[in-house]
Amino acid sequence: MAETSMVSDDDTVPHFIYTFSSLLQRVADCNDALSVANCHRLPPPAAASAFSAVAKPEISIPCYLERIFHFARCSHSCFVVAYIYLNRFLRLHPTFCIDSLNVHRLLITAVLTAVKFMDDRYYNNAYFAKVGGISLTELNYLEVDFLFGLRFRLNVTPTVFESYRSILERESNIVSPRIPPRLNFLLGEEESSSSCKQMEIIV
Amino acid sequence: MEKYDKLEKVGEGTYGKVYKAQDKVTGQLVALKKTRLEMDEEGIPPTTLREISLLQMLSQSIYVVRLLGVEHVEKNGKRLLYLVFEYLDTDLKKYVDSYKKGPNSRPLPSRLIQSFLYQLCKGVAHCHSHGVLHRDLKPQNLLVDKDKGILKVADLGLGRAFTVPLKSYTHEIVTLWYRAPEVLLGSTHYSVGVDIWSVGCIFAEMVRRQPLFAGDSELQQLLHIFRFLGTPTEAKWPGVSSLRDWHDYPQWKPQSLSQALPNLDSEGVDLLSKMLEYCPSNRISAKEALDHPYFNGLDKSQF
Ligand SMILES: Nc1ncnc2c1ncn2[C@@H]1O[C@H](COP(=O)(O)OP(=O)(O)OP(=O)(O)O)[C@@H](O)[C@H]1O
Ligand SMILES: [Mg+2]
Repeated sequence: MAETSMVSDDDTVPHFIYTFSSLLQRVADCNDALSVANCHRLPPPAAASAFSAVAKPEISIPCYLERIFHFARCSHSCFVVAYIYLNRFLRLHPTFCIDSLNVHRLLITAVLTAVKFMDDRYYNNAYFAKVGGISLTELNYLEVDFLFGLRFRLNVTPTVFESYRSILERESNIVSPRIPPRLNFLLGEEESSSSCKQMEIIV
Repeated sequence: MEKYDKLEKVGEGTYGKVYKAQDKVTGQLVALKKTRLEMDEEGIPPTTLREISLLQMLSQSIYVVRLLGVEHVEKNGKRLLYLVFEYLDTDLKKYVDSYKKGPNSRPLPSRLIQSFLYQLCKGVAHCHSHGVLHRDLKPQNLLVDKDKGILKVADLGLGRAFTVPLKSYTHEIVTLWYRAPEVLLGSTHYSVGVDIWSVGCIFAEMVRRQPLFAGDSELQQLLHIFRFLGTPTEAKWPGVSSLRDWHDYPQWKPQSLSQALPNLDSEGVDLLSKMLEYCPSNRISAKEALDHPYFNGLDKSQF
């Protein structure tokens, strides 16, 4: 069942999509509350600040993700992969946190990246920008920021895929799911930022 | 990018050029693959995105070209992405051509073919063990160091992960000449066998110094294959007649591989026939190929 729900052409939104958005919603709410409580909030690191909107977008996270789901028409697996990318991004940038100003942009960029890496057929950035309600220029910059932020680590092993898929599918059945430990939502110190994007691959 | 002196152009692709360049400080030779990011609508070209992310995982193998770094440059409003690779002399296409042309025309030494094929199988086995299909194996995409006799797999722009369930698989993989019959017949869930087929074609090409199946359309390509290996039957390849693009083709009998490739010893012929096996699930794997008796004469300790 798990396998087929990932490749089906069905238009109904699979339950794990709702789990995904409720997880994000909770993390964002939590961080919003923290940043209000914490008067000494540090500015976000340069690379990550690109994801912040000036004002909180009106569309809720579940509606936004559902919208992406309907229009992207990609393999369902791509959403699991997008979830993995967000976790990776956070792990690589421990001081960055998801809040209601940046969660939408992160989400559309993560899904776009997953789809481009995984699927052979997909819509281009111009289309995704329309779906995501942001300008094409902005999405193009976010794409570069996200890829460098992930250090281009896009590959997902079957074991990692399975474990995240099962988190998303299992949490659907729990009334009050806990936040997965890797979705980092605590404030920390600012990481050293650099405006020049460069990746050295250390083997 | 001020770090490098561009020396000469060595290749050109869909999204940009490849240059030979030299590190101004260390003198190290590198290849710079330039990607224009002007095609706004598309953002980062998918081939570039895949090439970088797949190589950053696969580059540890010495049988895969090493990606040294990636740089995003913004100059006069133009955005560029540079991929920095280790530099190798030439590619297998140019190398085989050098044996074909001029007064010095001669076959490639069989030892060299053996060694190149072995390294190619190593590289492909490495990709497959990491869950990656290359999907564009051809002589132009294999880099060669002439003096050291080294061969490495390059150009992962069409590569893709195959271990996670996905719905769409494109048919536009691999240059026609190296494309496996199941892809030509419209199969949508092909796997590692497509790369092995290409390896077989490359093997034969090193022996013949010209492509094995040089079709100019999908149909011609299939007919070339059928004329040489015999038209596949349900007995030889269960399920073939239910593939999307299957038709009733003329019935050809298989030709003798050893007669068609008189320069190749019998072990070589046997290995080639296992790589060009019709039924994808019976095709030899890259890992199995490494243990084939064809490589017995090879000093494997050097690899
Ligand atoms: N590291 C390298 N060292 C020497 N020559 C190289 C190197 N990389 C590429 N080349 C040369 O440049 C040519 C084109 O490179 P490559 O196959 O990577 O790009 P491409 O075909 O343009 O890619 P794509 O198919 O994604 O458009 C190769 O066939 C080879 O001759
Ligand atoms: Mg190429």
